[in-house]
Amino acid sequence: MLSRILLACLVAPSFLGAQIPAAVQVERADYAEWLRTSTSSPYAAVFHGPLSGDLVFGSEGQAALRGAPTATLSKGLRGLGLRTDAGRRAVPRNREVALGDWRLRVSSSPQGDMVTVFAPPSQEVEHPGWFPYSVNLVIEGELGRPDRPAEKAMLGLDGVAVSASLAGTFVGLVLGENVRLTAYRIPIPGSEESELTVFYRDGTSGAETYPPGRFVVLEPLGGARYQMDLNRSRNPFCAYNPRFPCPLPWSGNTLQFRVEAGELYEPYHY
Amino acid sequence: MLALVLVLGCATAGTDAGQEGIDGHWRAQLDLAGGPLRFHMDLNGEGGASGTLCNGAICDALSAVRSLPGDSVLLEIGDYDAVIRAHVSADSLVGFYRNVGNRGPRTIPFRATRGSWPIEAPPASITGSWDAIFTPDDSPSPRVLELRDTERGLEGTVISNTGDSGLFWGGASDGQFVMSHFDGSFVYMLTGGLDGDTLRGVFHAGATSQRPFVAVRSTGAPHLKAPTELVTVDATTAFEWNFPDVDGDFVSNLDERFQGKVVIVEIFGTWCPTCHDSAPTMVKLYDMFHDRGLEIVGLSYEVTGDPEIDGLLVRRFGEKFGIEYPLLLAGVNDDDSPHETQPQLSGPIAFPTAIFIDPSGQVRRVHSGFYGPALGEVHEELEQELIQFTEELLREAGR
Repeated sequence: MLSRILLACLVAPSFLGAQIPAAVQVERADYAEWLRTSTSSPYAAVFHGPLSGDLVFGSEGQAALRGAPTATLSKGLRGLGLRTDAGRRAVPRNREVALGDWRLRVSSSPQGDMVTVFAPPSQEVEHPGWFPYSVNLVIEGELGRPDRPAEKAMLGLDGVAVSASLAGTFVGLVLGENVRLTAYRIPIPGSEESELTVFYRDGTSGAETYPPGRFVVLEPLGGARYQMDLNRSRNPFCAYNPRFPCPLPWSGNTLQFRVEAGELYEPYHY
Repeated sequence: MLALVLVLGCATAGTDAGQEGIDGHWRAQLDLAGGPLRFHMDLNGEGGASGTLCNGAICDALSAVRSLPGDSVLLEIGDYDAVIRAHVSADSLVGFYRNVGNRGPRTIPFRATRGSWPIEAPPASITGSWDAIFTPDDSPSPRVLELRDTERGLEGTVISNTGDSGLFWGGASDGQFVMSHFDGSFVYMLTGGLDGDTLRGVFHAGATSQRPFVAVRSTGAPHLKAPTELVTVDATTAFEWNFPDVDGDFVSNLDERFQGKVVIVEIFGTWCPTCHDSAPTMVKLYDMFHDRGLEIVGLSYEVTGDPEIDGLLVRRFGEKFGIEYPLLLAGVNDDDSPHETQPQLSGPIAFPTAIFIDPSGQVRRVHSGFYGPALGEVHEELEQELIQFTEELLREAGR
């Protein structure tokens, strides 16, 4: 691993460093590292589903949870709690909680609480990588506001339902083609933040990239102008692990040509 | 992690990495899509390996400052699982702020040079209180902007129905103002300027999120919901609680010490700056009226849910303010926890929220949020109002 990274450093100026902005370079390295080693990497998830009734860990628990320490996650009069031999502790939503070497997270969503459980990473997983960076796929365009406001329940990148608001239609020129892509404002739970997001399919979907599509965030340039850097397109978490549900492709957001930019896809590594 | 270090090294390869220490005062910025978010840092890397992030008068301590190979430094913000990683040269730091959310890590470019940002005194035309409407698409929502001219430049805050967003600091020039709040976790910036009598601008959150706003001078008419209107309470039964204190002993409304007393239940969190503002007022009320039959109990909603960690934070909070009334571990600070543990309350629960209960156990008033000392006269008025109301309840009870 180390030698590969060092090699990347040495060759970067010749085929990477000259083109890839440092921010994108760091973002990619950071993200791949997080996927590979984080205790809450989507690769490490062994359970993802609604909290309906008690969720039991340990030898009496569901199949995927039998290697975990004995514990019960439940929702009661004192809120969400995790009961272990050591007693009960409250469980915050949208944050990780340790259970021995395991981790769990309860995500709030309009449909109720979703639980994701992460086992200790058992093997090092290689990130599939990205298409070579292309400055031609950094698109500037305009976001036309919608005729009327609209809210829509949809799955976010992490397979958790969110209530997204229609932001409008991004209009730009991609590889010589005029494109119109629907954008939604997707909230980031627990903050004042949201991301103007486009979920799109193209000619690479189902081949080099994930079949249902990829997410890309629009960055404001001032006024109605936005930048859509397709090199920063990312897979939904279901691309890494089938335990996460996949967002449905957004109607009208299919490009009829190949966008050779952003994150690649290889069938599951887990 | 190693890969990131090396990539950062790659990104700065070829520069003259200086060997100078990092001790000193730095003017720093995060490069958001909407412009630079300014703040200050004080670092003491060689002696104590410590430091602070400062927005105007408010500073937050870094949890650690570490040197890395390749003339880089790692500034850890442990409370938020966030770091600033930067390459060090003689008089500059260049790198990235990074935090980890549920959807993976996020990075924002970071830069710093030695020294201080210039103090830019705001014109009187923009200071004061403004009634703002934030207009993100289809859900406009009210805010009050409090902008003040201080010796550090422009300071203020953004108040919503459920509380404020902490201290913002910045300055103004050429009719435009910029204020920011960066505490290691929240990345907020307010930019704007006067357009006639109207203040127009943008509230920036994180690297790319932007919400335009329009504001007019506050007239004194209510723009936000009154602090007593936000939360409603089921008053058909006595208000109940039963939670462990930091030693694990449960404290309940049925305990002898609360019977026949006027009780204030303060919902708070040690992570909440406004709760730090309100604690001295609660202590003042307790000192003034405890002998006449006032009891106060604090219900904390903390970050981790781990009694050991949360207990330590709550114990420190109590020691900091000299609190003698019980502080209980009631839950965690997500949107739903206070409602789940206090089902008698409905509506958005602000931090802090003070619930005033008469000797019969009935809720007489719920006060959401708090105006801290930074708001001057408004704070003093509120404190007097709370003192008077408490005295009224005690008088009613013949105490």
